[in-house]
Amino acid sequence: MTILNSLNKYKLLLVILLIASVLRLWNLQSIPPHLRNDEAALGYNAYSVLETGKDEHGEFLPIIFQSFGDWKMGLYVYLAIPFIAILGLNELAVRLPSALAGIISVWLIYEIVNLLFAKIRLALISAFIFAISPTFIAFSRGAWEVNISLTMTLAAILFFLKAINGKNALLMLSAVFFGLTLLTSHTAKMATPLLLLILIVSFSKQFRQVSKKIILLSILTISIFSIPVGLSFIEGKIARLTTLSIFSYQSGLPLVQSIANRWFSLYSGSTLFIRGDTNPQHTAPNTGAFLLLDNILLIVGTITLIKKGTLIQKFFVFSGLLLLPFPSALTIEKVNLERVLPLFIPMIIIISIGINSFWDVFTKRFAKIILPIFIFIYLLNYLYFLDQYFIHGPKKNDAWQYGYKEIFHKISNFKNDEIVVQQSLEHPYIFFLFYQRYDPLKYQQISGQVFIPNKEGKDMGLVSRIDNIEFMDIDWSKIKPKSKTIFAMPTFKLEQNSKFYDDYNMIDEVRDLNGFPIFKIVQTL
Amino acid sequence: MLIALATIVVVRIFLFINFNADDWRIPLMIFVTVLGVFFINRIIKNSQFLYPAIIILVLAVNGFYKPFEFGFNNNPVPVWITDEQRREHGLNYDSPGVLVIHNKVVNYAFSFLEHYFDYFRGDFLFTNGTFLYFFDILFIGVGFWMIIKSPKGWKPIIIWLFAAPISAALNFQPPTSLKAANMLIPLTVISSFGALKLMSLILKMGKGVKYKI
Repeated sequence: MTILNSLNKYKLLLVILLIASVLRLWNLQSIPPHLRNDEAALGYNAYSVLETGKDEHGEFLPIIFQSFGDWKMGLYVYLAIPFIAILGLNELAVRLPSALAGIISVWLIYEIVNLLFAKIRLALISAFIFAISPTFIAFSRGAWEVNISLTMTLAAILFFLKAINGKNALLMLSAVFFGLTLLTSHTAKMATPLLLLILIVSFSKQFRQVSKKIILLSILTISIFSIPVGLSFIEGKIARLTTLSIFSYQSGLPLVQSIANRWFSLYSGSTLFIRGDTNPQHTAPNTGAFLLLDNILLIVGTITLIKKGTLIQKFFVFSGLLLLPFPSALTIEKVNLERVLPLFIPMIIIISIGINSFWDVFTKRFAKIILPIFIFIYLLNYLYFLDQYFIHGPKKNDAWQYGYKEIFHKISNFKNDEIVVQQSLEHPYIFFLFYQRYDPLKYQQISGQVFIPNKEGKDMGLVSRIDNIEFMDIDWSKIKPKSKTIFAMPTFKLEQNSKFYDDYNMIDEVRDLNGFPIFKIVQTL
Repeated sequence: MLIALATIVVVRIFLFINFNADDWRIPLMIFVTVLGVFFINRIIKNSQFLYPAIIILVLAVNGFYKPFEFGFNNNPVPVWITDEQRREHGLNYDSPGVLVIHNKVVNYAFSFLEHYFDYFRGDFLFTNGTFLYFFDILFIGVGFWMIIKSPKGWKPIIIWLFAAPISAALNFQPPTSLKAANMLIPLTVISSFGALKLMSLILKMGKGVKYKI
């Protein structure tokens, strides 16, 4: 009876969770159509830890993984291990932790909004908007550390709110989740302290009533989780930070202006509603972080919140909007949605408030005309996004590092020949290790010799050779190719090289999903 | 309040005209729009007609300054995007569903909206130095906050602000401050209003004196 009651009570939420699951899990192994190199690295390191207890570089159970030299925070790797143990080393197993985290986030946002605003309808709308949001679908359908970090952040916020609403002991659980975000993504090192600040200032009155002992224990908990981060600074494992930080880059503009330009760029209509950021992996083609019509809802929501919200609600939401873009604004890229996922929590809340007040107005007036028209246009807008994400997105080659899976599948037949694969910052070696399920123990033994750290002190090192495969820049104008060697390179590269050497046989080619050849495999005579 | 507001606005408009243009049509355009909005606001009481009247006025005055240039010929990108989108549907490229969502109308509309939104970009308005000052962001923020709190009488200004870049965005080119000159009055009014409100708030907090503007 109790189960039936709660099913009845939560039936709308269950429907929303079902929608979220379909949008995140449907065809997960093949959309996006190819692993990113980071996904392959997370997956292969999880496989390596599962098989040997060590990462690809032979480090025993590391918290921070060296990977390409970018020192990835390691929680995602450990979360992927059980899935790889059950499903094997494949796309689905690597992406599942992120997809499931995306579904859990929908439930968490429902609980958070319910606690913040004490309105079930608003909480349900927030969960629904989160479930169908283009950004969160894109980040849940790939092995994105930031997506796991977002789920941890939401759990931490939820337990923080519960703690200050009477269940004080949950503050420690909140501290654990905040601490875990630090071990999940680089961005959290900045976003988490900012969020903590926002929460503590917003709810300072209630926070002061929490027992001092619990607050001290919570601080201790976060401090323990911060130790690996602190150590990484001391040990110099911060190549990613120094490569991307705006402070290590000269744009020619005053620093304040550069930062302000980046902050403002995030809030441009183009980024939010029409084109997204410059990385096509973050949004569907021709789609922003939100739907175009969300623009109206954001305006209505902002007006309603300013007019009717309590001081705490306003402070929480608007200080979030002010501070949370900084993890992106302080990097060299103009806009990067990956670094501002927590910012979308207040934005989702505002959009939901917008829908809620639309609902209130239109159920009183013009209900029969304007509401159905708005819902119809919104639906069309959403269908446009679905078409862009599921039909057009997979066909954009520049987005997905497409082709390496097929290349290594095709050249795996030539075990006794010398093979040269075009080197690039897409790190082809990791796709070879991943798709060939290369023995981790064997690779750990050679990784010290074949991994060449970045010579300019930046984050990305390169791997030069594994067994009979050499990874190098193929330039026949400088070095004449050896005979009886197999070369795999992009089509344009072969066209360039053919001007200097054309004594080869075409063996095979890899076509993209539009049918155009993107890689050629040839053998010199 | 009104006198202080008017003084600040007039001074700032003169500064803008001085710095930005020798073109006599810009002050004239601004003057005609101010007069027009003033009289429309006086004459038309029914809000159903007031807003379209202001939009038509702003578009007409902008058209006088620079005849509308529909930049379709100079902007082939939406056509390329349409072709690419249809091609990506493979053999269904000419099915009715594909034609309905992937066509020039939709893609030119997206392109127009993108350019329209660009006129409200913070880096265009505040940091790149040709339109407003950086500190205006604070005053405009406070101004909008106060207007949302009590919007009475502000609607013509807001409509004016949002109508001003429509004709410029139809040109499909990056925003320039001259093309957006008609946004200046509403933005300056809101910014000055915000500054005055902020000042009164600081005075009230600092001295504990009841000071109202």
